[in-house]
Order: sequence, then C-alpha cells, then structure tokens
Amino acid sequence: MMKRPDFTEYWSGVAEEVAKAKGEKAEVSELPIRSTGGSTGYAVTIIGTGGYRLFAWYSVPRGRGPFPALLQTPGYGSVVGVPAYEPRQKYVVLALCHRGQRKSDKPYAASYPGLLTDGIDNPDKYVFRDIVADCLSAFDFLLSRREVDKKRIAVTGNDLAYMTAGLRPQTSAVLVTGELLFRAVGERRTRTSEYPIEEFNDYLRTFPRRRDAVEATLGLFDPLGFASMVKAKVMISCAAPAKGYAAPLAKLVRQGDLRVAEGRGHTDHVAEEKWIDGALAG
Amino acid sequence: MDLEAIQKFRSSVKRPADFDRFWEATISATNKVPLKAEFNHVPMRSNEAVDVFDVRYDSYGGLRIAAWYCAPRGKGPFPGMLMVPGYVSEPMLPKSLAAQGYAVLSAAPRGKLRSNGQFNPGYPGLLMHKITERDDYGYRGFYMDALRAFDVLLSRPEVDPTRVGVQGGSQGGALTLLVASLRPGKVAAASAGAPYLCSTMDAATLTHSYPYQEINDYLRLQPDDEPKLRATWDYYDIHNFVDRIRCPIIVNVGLNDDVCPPATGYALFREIGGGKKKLYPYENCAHDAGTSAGHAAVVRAFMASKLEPGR
Repeated sequence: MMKRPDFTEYWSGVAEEVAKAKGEKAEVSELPIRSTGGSTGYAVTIIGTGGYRLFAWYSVPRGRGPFPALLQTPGYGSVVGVPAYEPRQKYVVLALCHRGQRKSDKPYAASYPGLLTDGIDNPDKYVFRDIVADCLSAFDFLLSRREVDKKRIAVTGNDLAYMTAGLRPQTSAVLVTGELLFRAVGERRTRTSEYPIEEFNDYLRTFPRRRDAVEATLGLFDPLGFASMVKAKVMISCAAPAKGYAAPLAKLVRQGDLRVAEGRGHTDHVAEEKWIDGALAG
Repeated sequence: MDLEAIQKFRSSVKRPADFDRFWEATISATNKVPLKAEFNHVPMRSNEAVDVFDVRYDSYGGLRIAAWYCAPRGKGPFPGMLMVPGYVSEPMLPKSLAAQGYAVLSAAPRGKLRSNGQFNPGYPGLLMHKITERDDYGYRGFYMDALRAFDVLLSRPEVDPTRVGVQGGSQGGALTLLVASLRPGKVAAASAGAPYLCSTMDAATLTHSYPYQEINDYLRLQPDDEPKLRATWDYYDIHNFVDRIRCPIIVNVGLNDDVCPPATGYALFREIGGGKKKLYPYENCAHDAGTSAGHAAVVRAFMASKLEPGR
C-alpha cells in the first residue's frame, strides 16, 4: 500500500478540529440501573467535531483510583452495548457510540448498509473522517478524567482502535479484533460479496467513474498508514483467512503481537483478555 | 458449569394453562391486519447474480415492518430461506446466500432500523419493554413480525413453498424455533444457533452478560417485581413453544457461552418435538457457538440436503 503524500496533513487537520471541539465540556450522569456492586455506570455526552453530541457508556470501578482504562471503539453496526461486566470490575471503561449509531443518531442516523461508503468520493466529506475524530474525542475524554491512570489506557476494536492509537501516542496498548474495514480493501473486495465489504462493490458498480476518487480516499484510511505512528503495545487478533493482510499491522510497530484466532470464542476471548491484563499491569 | 451440570439443568419455566389461547388470540389479531407487502427493487445492492429488494409489510398492531429480500436471477422455483436477526445486530443483507440458489428474506422486526418509526425501545431496552404487562409486552408484536416474515416469503411466486427453511443465531435462534413451532407444516428445515429467550428467568441468574443482564439490572432496583416478570415470561419463553416443531432441525450451542447459557439450550433441545433433531455442542466456544469452528459448514450442508438449491 502506498501512503498518500498528504496523509499527515489530512490527519493533522482532523486532530486540529478535535482540539477545537475540546472546549466544550462533556456531560456525565450516573445511571443507577447500569451500576453493579463493583462498578458505577454513567451516561456520557462528549462534544465531538462540529459540536456533534456523542453518547458513550462509561463505567468506573468502585474504590479508590486511579484505574487503568479501556476505550472501546465502536464496531460496524447500529448498536453499542453496555460494557461487559468483567472488565468493569477492574478498569474504567468507555464505550463510544460514534455519530450515526443509536444514541448518537441525531442529527445523523447511519444506514446499514450505507455507512461505509457515505461520502467516500471526497475525503473531506467521508463520514469516517468524522468517526475517527469521534474516537479521538472519546480518548481525550478519558485523559480529562481524574479516576483514569493516564499511563495505562488501552484501546480496543477494529481499524478504529489502531487509528486512534496512531493519532494518540498516549495509548499504552491496542487490541485489534474483528473484521478490518479498511485494510487492503482494493484486493479484498474482489474476493467477497459479504457485507460490509460488499458495500464498496455496490458503490463502485453504481458509480464506476468514481473509482479513482474512492481509492484515493481509502488510501487515507488503510490502518497500515498509521503503523509508524503507533507507539503502544499492539495485539492483532485475527481470523486465519485475514492473517495475510492483518499481519503487517503487528510487524511494523515497535511492540507487536499477532495471534491467529482459533475460532473458538471462549479460548480466543481468554487469550485477548490475558493480553490486555498484561499490557495494563501496573 | 461443567458439562454434567449443563446436561442435568432443569428449566423452571411453567406453561400457563391458557398459553395456547393467548397465542391463538395473538395470531388471530395479526391475521386481521392485511399484509400489504411491497417489494421495491434496489439497483445499487443488486448484481449480476442476485436481485435485492427493500421489503415492507404490515404486522401486529398495524406496524409497518421492513425486511431485505434477495433472490437469484432466473425463473425459479427456488428454495426459500427466512433469516431472523440477533438482539442488537441489524438484519444482514443476504446476498451471498442468494448467490447459492436460495430466495432469502432477512427480517427486521419492530425496533430494528427501518422498522422503528412507531416502536423503538432501543438496546438495552427491548427485553424490558413493558415486561410486567403480558398483553402489551414488546416481544408480542416482535414475535408476530418474525412469523409474518415467513408468510411474506411464502407469498413470492418464485419460492417453492415445499422447500422453505429458517435460520438464525442467538435471538435469531429463538425466532427460528418460534417460526418452526408456529408454522409446523410449512417449515421444511430449521437451524437455531445459541438460542436466546429460552428459560429466560433462569438464564438471567446464570450470566452477567447483556441482554439477560437487563433483567438483573431491573431486579436490582425493583426486586419485588420478580414474580411479575416470571409470569410474563412463562407466556413468551421459547421453551414452551418447541414441542410443536415437526421439521428437521439442528441446534448448536457453545459450552462456554456467557450470553446464552448452554444449560438453557440443552433444556430447550429436550423439549423440541418431532425427533429429527440434532444438537451440536462446541467445546471452548462462547456465543459464537462454533460458527467459526466448523458449524457454518454444517448449517450449509444441512440446508442444502433438505432444501436442494439448484435442483
């Protein structure tokens, strides 16, 4: 993959917009119904770029902090769930709903399929430019919290987690799981009709003349372009068929591990959880 | 819970005396609503092998419900497949399955995107929506939306009505079992993965994972309501439907599933009627229930053997 010459300039522009939005304070409200004996749940509204109001689930372990933190970047789908019970007992957990997802769907409501190609022929209007910005705003929220140990923040999720780690050097660890949306799309899309990758095929079948523009935009979003900026420990946990295109995300960073998932959810989850625990150990 | 305990688990679900009457009345009320099915071709999502349609139909209470329909190009007849969605996931657009020769309807029951204009309890939310009111509980209409989706699929002239299957995982597993139970002479084959909504009140005591955790969250604040929740759930629990199933059916569970406890899947499997049933337990699997450990291929082969795409 060739990194676009304007890659750094493009993402610097995004970072500047996020920095401007930081002036507006987040709203934090306790949610007794989502609290447990070991953690307190909150509803958070973070102000993203353009003044967009972003919802996030926030959970803080009971007891004296500061605590290590997890930022769960959102997956590809309309719903972001309340964070799982077990990590909430030991980590501050922030689960972001990016713009377009439920609870962050006013004024913009995402379509599935549809989100992945919304505005893709213009990198300045591509919806994922704002979605990456939303992840940075969420990270900055964690940095602003007294109960968070700033030296122990992990980011989890798909490409968005890796991109966030690249754009936020304060990230201690990044765990990448699930299907990658932007890695090597040009080649992968020709071998599948499964969604969400099929959205790229649908778009190019409908607008064949926009192919160059789409490829140019995707050149800014392939997570490989962020590898040189990632300072965190990295774990890429991928399915066997994804190994070929996922592996460079681990190889090209200073501290990268690649794990090919066994396809047995319990075994894979335990391994991933163990890795996060090790990466965030005090 | 080890395998022996999983196998020995007994559900606490009770079958209300008027269970059948309640559902007959619900189905009767649904049948009074004209289907008004519309199929609008979506050129952007169609390709050289598959036509894609945005589907709308009316359901219980008069709500307009959405679905995707994907059919192979050509004359047919094709075997049909109803796909029913999980709790939080959006219904998939099943183009790749259609490319294998099936005419596929992927339902978006009320509350899912495109079906949430009049009913939108959210997630978390759906499981608890009016849970103490049996007659108005959110899943009453939701179940009917899934059942009606099967009827919409059967209404298509290119679908062979003797070769229609149902499949789904998690909540989709529950809805698969529901449709197979309530359309016993019409469903030709069913595949239910990691079934949700079975032994529901027991399941909440066996896990801290959502969606069942919604029940625990609620009861933490309102513990005195437990009998009311149980009373409602005895009418909705999938455990109480499945003795009506007559089609060949496969069920898969993950033995380490922390979302839908495998013990509730075993208890449900024992209740399934018919006899042409097979359980696939997967060690070291969680809510994936073996999908990536070989079960996807099992489902594909099972459906192909029963429904014969390309015949």
